[in-house]
Formats: sequence, C-alpha cells, structure tokens
Amino acid sequence: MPLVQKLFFYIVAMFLLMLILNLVRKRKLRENYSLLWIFISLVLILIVLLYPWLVKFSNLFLANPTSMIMFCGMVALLLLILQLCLMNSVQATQIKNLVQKITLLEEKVKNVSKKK
Amino acid sequence: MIFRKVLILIPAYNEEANIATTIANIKKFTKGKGWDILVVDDGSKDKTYLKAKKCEVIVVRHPFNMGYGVAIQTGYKFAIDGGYDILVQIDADGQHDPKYIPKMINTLRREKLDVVIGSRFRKKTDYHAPFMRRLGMILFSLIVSAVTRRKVTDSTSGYQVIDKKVLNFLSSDSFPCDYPDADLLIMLYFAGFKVDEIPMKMYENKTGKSMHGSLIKNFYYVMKMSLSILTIVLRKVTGLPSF
Repeated sequence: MPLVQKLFFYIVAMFLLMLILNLVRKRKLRENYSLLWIFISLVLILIVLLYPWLVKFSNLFLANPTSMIMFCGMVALLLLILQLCLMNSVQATQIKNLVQKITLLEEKVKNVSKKK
Repeated sequence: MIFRKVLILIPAYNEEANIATTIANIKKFTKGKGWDILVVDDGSKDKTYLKAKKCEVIVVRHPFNMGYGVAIQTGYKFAIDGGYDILVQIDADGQHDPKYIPKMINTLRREKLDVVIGSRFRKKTDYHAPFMRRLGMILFSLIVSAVTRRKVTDSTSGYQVIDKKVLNFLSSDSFPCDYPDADLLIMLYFAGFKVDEIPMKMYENKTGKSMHGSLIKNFYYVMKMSLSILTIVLRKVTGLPSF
C-alpha cells in the first residue's frame, strides 16, 4: 500500500475514533451503542498498521486487499444496521408499554379528580 | 346465575362518523345488564374522542396512533385492572352486529371456552370481501385449521368474546401487536386455550376503510403473518416457549 494511501486510511480511522469518543464524552452517544463503532475504527487502524497481514488474509480467499476491505466494510455496516434494528425493536416494545400505561393512568387520574 | 362483570371494548381510529351509532346499537343489547363499554381511541385525528365521550361510556385515548393491536391490548390491560370477567371485542365501524353479544357470551359459558369468535364464513351470508382479501382470509384460515387441527373459517375476525383467564396472556409482550389474528389463534392453541367460532352476519364497511388498505399493506400483511406463524411453529418444534 502506498504511503499516501496508508496515511489517508489512518487519518480517516483516527478521525472516526476521535469523533465517537467525543460523542460519548459529550453524552450524545451512549457507551453501549458506541462499542461496535469503536471496534470498526480500531479495525481500520489495524488494517493500516498491519497491512502485510491483510494481504496474507486476502490471499487465503484469492482476493485482492482492496476488495477484502470493501467486503469487510460491508459486513461491518450490515452488523451495525442489525444492531440498530435490535435496539429499535426493544424500544418499540417499551414505547408501546409506556403509551398504554399513560393512557390507563390518565383515565385513573380523571376518575380520582372527579371523586374529589 | 353468578353475576359476571363484562367489558365491551371498542378500539377506534378516526371513526367520528360511526362511533356514536355503534355505541347506541351496543347499548340496545346491554341495557340494564350493568356492563361497561370502553372506547380506546387510538390517537384519532378527528372528533372520535369527543363523540365517544358524549355517549357516556368510558373513553381512553392513546397520545398518538399506535395501531389496532396496541389499542385492543390497552383494552385488555384496562379489563385486568378493572377486574372484569369477560371482555367483548367489537369494531367501531359498525360492521359487527351487537345482537350476537349475548349469544357469544352464552356459548363461552356453556361450552366452557376461553375465546369465542364471530365468524363471517361459518354459514353462508351475503358478506363480500374484495377478492385478494378473501384469498388471504381463506389461506390463513386453512393454515390455522391445519396447525390447530380444528376447523377455523374466519381467522381475521375482530369480533370476539374473551374470558378473563386469557387476558393476562394477551397483555404480555409476546402479543402480536401488528396484526393479531391468525398467528394469535395459533398462539392461543399452543398455550392450551379453547377457542371456537359461532356464525354471524357482518355488514359491509360503508366507508371502505381497512387496515389492510393498500397493495403494499396487503403484501406486508401476508409476509408478516407468514413469518409470525412460522416462528411460532418453529418455537414449538424446537421446544422454546411459543409465547
């Protein structure tokens, strides 16, 4: 991998890692949701630092390193989307239960107010 | 005869045109019985809430639209809180004739059933559903009949009488809130509840509205229902709890 390309990858990966850490620091991103993002940026940094290993790994699948990075990137994105869907499913159930609780509590509050 | 506390549940969404008539019709058959009527307004954008309030029934309102399944589950939770023995579920659009309510409750008691469903197809009536919807109804009724080994003719009917022992089950998070019909019947069967149908006549929907309205919604319904049934059966086969 040419030095310029290595540098570019490294800067992008570091920027992503810093961005995530900063978002966590500012409490805009929760720690549990940031883990997968941090993992992805660390993998990106490792790819730059251990490029010969990536070449060996790619050769195992008769692929070139660039295609391997693209493939791994796609898999990582799919995993991130799956994680978001999982979170969304949990939250949808929680929202449903909250809405029902509010609805029933509202009726109870009205009844109590009427009795007073 | 032991007095039993009955709640009539009407889930409603944008039904300002029908809600008052539906409640008035129900009241004709419940007069003097001391039964309560609950309207769950599922965040309607029109005057459904105000019109229902004027009818002097209990009305609760979702802060925003959550869908038919969530609305009926709110009703189930209300029934549990209020200690009701029997819940009658009836649509707000006036398609269900309330004259069947006493008959359905009697069947529930006499046959010692847990759920009684009003079926449009048990006997030949003049009810006509659009071709695609009818096809879906037949398909899912056949699947439910095959899985439960009982003849089910109307797996999508929202006209039901439910005993209190089923309400806790229906209030859990495993309740399929998207479209609780064919998959729910299979869940009830696996949970050991006794379900049966009685024939009834259903009126055509005057407004033409349906929760399976568009082609995309129909497609989503078929896919979602098939997946839901498959996962329930898979859970059963692999020894996981089906609910």
